[in-house]
Amino acid sequence: MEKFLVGILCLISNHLIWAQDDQYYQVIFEHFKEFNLESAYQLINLEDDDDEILRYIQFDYDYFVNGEMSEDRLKNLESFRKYSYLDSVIFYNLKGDHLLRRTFRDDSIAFSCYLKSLRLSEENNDSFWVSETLRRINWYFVQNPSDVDLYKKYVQEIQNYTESSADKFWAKYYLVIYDMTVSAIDGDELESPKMRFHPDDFSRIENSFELLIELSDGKPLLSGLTLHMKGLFLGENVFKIEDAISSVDEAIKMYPGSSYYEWLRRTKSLTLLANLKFKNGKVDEAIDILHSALRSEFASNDLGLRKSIYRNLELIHSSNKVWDSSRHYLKLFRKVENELKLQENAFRIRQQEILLELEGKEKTITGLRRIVESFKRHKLIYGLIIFGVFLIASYSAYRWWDEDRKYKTLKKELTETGMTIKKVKIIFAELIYVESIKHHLTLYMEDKDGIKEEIIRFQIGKLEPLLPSYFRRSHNSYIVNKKFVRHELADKVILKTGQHIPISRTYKDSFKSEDR
Amino acid sequence: MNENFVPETVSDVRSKIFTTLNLGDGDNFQLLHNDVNGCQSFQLFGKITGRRPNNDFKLQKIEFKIVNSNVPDGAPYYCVSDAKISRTSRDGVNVDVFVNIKPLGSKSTGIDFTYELEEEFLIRMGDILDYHVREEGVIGGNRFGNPCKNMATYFK
Repeated sequence: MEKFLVGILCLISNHLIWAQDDQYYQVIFEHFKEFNLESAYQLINLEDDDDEILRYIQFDYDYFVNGEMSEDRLKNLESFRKYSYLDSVIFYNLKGDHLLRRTFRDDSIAFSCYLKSLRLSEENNDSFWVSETLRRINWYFVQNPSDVDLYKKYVQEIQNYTESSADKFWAKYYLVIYDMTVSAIDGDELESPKMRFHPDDFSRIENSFELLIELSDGKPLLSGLTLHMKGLFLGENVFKIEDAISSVDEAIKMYPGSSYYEWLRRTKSLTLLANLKFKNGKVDEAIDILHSALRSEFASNDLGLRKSIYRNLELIHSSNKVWDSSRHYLKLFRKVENELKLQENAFRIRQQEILLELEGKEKTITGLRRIVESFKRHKLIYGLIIFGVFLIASYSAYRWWDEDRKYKTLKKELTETGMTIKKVKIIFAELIYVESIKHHLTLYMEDKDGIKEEIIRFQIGKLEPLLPSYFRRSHNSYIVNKKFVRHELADKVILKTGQHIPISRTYKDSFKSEDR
Repeated sequence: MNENFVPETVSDVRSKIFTTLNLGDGDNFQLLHNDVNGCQSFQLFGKITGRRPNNDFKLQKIEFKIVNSNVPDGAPYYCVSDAKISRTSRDGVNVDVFVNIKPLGSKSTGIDFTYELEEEFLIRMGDILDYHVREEGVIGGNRFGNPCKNMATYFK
């Protein structure tokens, strides 16, 4: 059962371009021909709970039929990444494929995905997935041949995997493409990419293509790819242009064009054929070919290809001096180009937003990590700093506690020796007597220079209970400190300071009694 | 073109001076291209055969001949070894003529090379032809360098 599952996963997740054997193509083509997902499920005889495999099928199906993978599907797929080794390898490969296939490619991220997959499959000694991933990496370098040394490294690595006939084909294929990339001499500034070769290089690569066609063993898609590349290569040499045309003609016959993938390859070959025919002076035929490519039902889906077809038509018509048609296709070309630019800008903005969000998160994380790392590095210094802070904190806490205690003691003492009313500090030992005039009280207090007066707005009735017991009410308007009394007469007292304070009949008894 | 233009250098001549190609019935050899690089120089001549239905010219055959000049002692003479005509969409150029030359020990006599086309090749009135002459098996340099423009016209 396990082997069966692995087999199905390999079958389904094999990308159509890089699939190892042509049989895979045939199986997939037959059952996707009607664009019916159900028939694909029936073919694999899935049980209901095999969600995981379903998702892998959907992934390839999307590209096969629509030419592009929806982001939602990719997110769904992502949740399966952590399940097992095989899941993650397949996930990374598919994600890389998706990034390379979509209209706005993300090459560097795709490459990093492939590298992850390669590392994983190497750790698990899985030669099948190592070679599959290497094949994808090679294709990446075919399209981005800037770093030749790195490309060479992976081309050489793929030579180690030659178990089946298909392996041998792919190993040779990438070797030839690498040879083409390295041998090409820059120098011509033409609109279409031009490669020129040393005559020795040219004949060597031409022979390699012959060998490659033998290796493809008549399998339609492999031979189609080879013949297309051969046509592209021979077309660089004007003296071999007839051979190139016949090669591309054969390549087109390999693609009946019943699915998106076939149509894509077919259209690419048709565009190449039109270019070659045009070069060969058969302008009308070239225009017919390009129109037939445009008429296809898939053409409306792919803006990029339509753009290239319009561009070709415009150039051919302008060279042919049919200015009206040339202008017409130039307009169409500009329109599609603008559409693509708009889409690309929207895509970039979305990507930028995601990046900014990630960047923000990363900044916080790296900030925290930096603090932790520097803490680890300077343990002693940070320890000392923290100890110092602790000391300061405990000292200030102590100071606070001490101050608080002192304040409380002072307050207690103060209530015994004096008090503060309306911001006027009253020390009982110095207060001689209090006189009430209307709503105000005049406090007479002993001072160094004599007697000091303080006037506050307060009621005498409220003040009396606040004062210690040696303060007695002698009159409705007077409270007297008994410690300052020199003589007590029947209706008044004479104070040590010389004042005469009246004693009213109401307060006479209470004034003279010992207790208040 | 600027009316006050006066050619000063070889590249001026190649890029701004048009030569005309007479496409008529029964024409004789005419000058196609001057190669004046280095001390050794030559002129490329061609006899063009074709038919003229309506207003277009259907090219059938070109016979090439190189006339060497200023050949130093011991230096080889050149003759045409192969040729190919091809349509292009580069700015200002409609037809590329690729000519391969090879060195010879002594001066050749007669026609160097006859380029016969399997199918007739259409050349319109006013098409600009660009010649790319290069030695067989030698790489380097730029075959599509300074265009030497040759305008196709009809003289009665």
